[in-house]
Amino acid sequence: MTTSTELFKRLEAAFGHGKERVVAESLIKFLTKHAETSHINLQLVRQLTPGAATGSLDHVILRTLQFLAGDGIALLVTKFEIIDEEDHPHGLDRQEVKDAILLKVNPLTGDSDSEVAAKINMYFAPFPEAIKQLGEAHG
Amino acid sequence: MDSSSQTPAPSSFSLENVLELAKHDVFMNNLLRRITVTTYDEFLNVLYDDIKLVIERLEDNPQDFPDEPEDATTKRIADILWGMQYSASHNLAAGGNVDLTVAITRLNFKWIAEAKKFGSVTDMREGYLQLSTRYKPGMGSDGVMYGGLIGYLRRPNAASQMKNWRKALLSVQGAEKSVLADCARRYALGFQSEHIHKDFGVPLRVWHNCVVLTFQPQDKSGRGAKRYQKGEKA
Repeated sequence: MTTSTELFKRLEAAFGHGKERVVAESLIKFLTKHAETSHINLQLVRQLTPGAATGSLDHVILRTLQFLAGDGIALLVTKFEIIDEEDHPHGLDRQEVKDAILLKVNPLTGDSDSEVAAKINMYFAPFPEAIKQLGEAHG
Repeated sequence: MDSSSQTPAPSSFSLENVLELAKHDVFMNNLLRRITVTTYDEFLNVLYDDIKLVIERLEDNPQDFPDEPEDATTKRIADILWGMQYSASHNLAAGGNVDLTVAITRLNFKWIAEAKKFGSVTDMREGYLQLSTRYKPGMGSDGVMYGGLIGYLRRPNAASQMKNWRKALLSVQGAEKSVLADCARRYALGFQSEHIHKDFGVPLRVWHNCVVLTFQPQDKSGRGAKRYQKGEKA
């Protein structure tokens, strides 16, 4: 995916003319200005998107982020972390996440944990080069 | 309503919240399964579940595209698959123009399908021959090749039409010894076949699918609506 025109065309072909474009535009504009960003979470995107503060657009935000992290778009990469009891985050790979979901095992302790799904967070990180290229093509 | 009594929106994408948000959204329904795919089998399983959702989405509103050429309908499928994080191409050149190529390129997983207007079993036969003799389908870690055949049907009695195609497949050159199996996802509107690929000499397993786009309303307003009358000819 090389230009923002192509990206938004693809996004609207997938989702129609909805709020997904607003979410994507707001986020890309932010990332272009803040290249140092490494952690994109729900709170950040809510703040960036007009009308999203109450949480009413959360499903649109998630749709858009997963689209931007999609195989053929690859502006973002999906990441996971679990917060330990002392509030420290620990990164998880896909296999650990899969095991946690399927087996309900806490990846930090190895213990059975029926609430592990509430403890693992998904977030997104940008591919700085891809964002830069998109910004240049857009500019 | 007292706002203090409302449940506050979750503040993060915990897996629990993601699963809740994904429940009723066709694009996110299988999101975590897609993200955590590591083997070709897992790719194929979640892709087939996703394609079932895409087909059902098309079948929900066939009146919106009554005279659409098959290429345009295949593009619709590819567009929705992009929204599900796949890299989905329509008419990708590879030994000819493959109707639908779906991939997770980071893992080098690929699946292809031939899509045809299902006007008769002859159309399906042609599609099957293209799929099985012209293109190179993706291969799983079990050494089996996998592909799909999608028929866009705009005639009544889809289950019966698929039954006819299932029977006719066994007279297609090269597929006479196919082993057939029922489809757990689409029931009478799909089936699986497997035969040895002539060129590669390995099993080729094909998911045959019928997309029911028939729209012939018999109620008073449907009978009178000009926009649906063309569909009756199909």
